[in-house]
Formats: sequence, structure tokens, C-alpha cells
Amino acid sequence: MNQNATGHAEQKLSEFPSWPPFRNVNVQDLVALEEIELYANVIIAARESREPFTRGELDYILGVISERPPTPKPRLKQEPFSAAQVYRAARDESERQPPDFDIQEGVARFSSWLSQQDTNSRTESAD
Amino acid sequence: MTAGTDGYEETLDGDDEQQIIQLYHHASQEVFKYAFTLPNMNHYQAQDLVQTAFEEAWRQRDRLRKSSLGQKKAWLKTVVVRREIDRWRATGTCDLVAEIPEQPSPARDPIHEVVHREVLRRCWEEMRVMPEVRQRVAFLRWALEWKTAEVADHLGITAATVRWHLKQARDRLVEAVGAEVSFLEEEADDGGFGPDAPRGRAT
Repeated sequence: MNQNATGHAEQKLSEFPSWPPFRNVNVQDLVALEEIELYANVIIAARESREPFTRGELDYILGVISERPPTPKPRLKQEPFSAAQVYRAARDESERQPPDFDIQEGVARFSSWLSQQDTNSRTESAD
Repeated sequence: MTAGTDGYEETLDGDDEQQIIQLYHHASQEVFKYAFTLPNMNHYQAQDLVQTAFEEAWRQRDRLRKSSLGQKKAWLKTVVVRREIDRWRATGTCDLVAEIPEQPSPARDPIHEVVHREVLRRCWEEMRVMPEVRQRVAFLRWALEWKTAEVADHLGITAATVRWHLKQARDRLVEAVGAEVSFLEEEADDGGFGPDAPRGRAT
């Protein structure tokens, strides 16, 4: 530990023996301190993770559950793909999204067109 | 009358108008989603393409009468894509009336098993904001598997420009999802359909 110009003790974060590091700081709002601690835990865990957290992992990090959930099944070893394969897969995936399509409105429009066709054919027959 | 997918009656006997409306109920959403994946497509254009495809289905109802629901859907998608790429064409027109496909559902690519769908969605978002001509080039070359020369001829640009757009599109995808997806180092320059193969296959 070092002393600064005002004589106050300075301590590097790494010198604290264990997490949480700021227990000896003069903070009155313990609830806020707990929240900051949880938030910091999430940030630290996120830095160490290469994958997005599952809901179970996040619950574990936040202390909602006491046991770490089983590690998700590892993905199959990835062979390299062509850009065309990626494009087609991405396009397929976009087709899986729910459509913003009003089928009743579409039917009404198409029925109207059919009626017009019927009228036209009758007019031609009459002529 | 034969009961098909989700209660759809496969045969188009009886009242033609009722049958085509029934087909509309069973196929229009899928056709709309397909149309919406076309380059630079907005909601209203996709709706118009659905309307156009069903108008064509009405005109061709005698040909479609004995097709399965899957074949009809694939046929409608083919009409959609032919109508749209016909609009892009630099010269001439392509055949609007599509053949009824024998294989309406192509096999699913194994890429779906190893690449997370969220990553694929990000890829698609990247594609959707690319310049319109690049989207068209990518669609014709990568989705419909046209040859580079065919794409160039259709869009009225040079083969070198087609290749440049494909490289730009690939680089953008690599930049966006290269951490999660392993890309081939060398992309095949050409391939896909031969010169006599039908154009505008629905994929």
C-alpha cells in the first residue's frame, strides 16, 4: 500500500484480498452497493466468456441459483462455408420469421380482382 | 378430392374460384415471406408480387389443377422471382410463366446445424443494407446460382463488376460474422446452372 500526497492510503484493486473490493469504502447505501457488485460480477464474467450467456448461466452469476447449469452441448466442428452458403442460410432464416401479412386483406384484394375478371369475361361474351 | 397439408384439398375440381381462394389461404403467407427476401423489397412490393403470382395462378389454373400444394407453392414462388428479376433486366424479358417444379422443397443446408440462427439473422441484416445492385448480384449468383456472365448480361454490367460486388458482399459478411462463421478462403468464381438450364428457379 502506498500513501498519496494527502496522506490517504491508496490501494491497487489487485491488492484487495477478495471480491468485493469496496467494502471498506465509506458508502452508506448497502443496497446500491450490492447492485453494483452484482453488475460488476456480470461484467467480469462477460469478459471471460466467448459465448453469450444462457439464462441459467446469468442466474448463476447473479446468485439466483447456487449450482452452475450444465455447459451447453458444444457446437459441431465448423467446416468453412462459402459466402453463397451463408447467404442462402441467412435468407432461409429470414423466411422463418413471422410474416407481416394480412391474409384477409390479401384475399379481399384478390377476390376483387377475380370479380373484375368475371365481369370482363361476361362483357366480352355479350359483345 | 384428396386432403393435403393442413386440410388443403389437393385437387382443383369443383368451383375454380373457391379453389384458388383456398390456395390463397394456404400459400399466400409463405409466398409473401419468400417475396420479402428478394433484394431491396418492401412490404407493399411483396404484397403486389403475391397478388401478381395468384393472378398468374388463376390464368394457369388448368396446368396447376393436378399439382400438389408443395408444387403450387414452389410454382408461385418461381413466378414471384421471375416477375421481379424481369423488372431488373437490362434488355429483353425472361419467360414469366414458370414450369411446375418436381422438387418443391430443397434439402436443408448443413450450415443450419452449426451456425446459430442469430448469426444468420445478422448476416441477413447486413445484406439488406447493401446497395441495391449488390443485393441483386448476390441473389442471382448465390441464391439462383446463375453464372457470373449470365448475371452480368441480365443486369447490364460487366463480369468484373459482378465479381467485385460479390467480393464486397463477402467481405462485409466476413466482417460482420467472421468471428462466428468460418468462411472458405477461395470462393469459386463460377458454377451452378449450365447455359441451357432454366432460369429463375425458386430456392
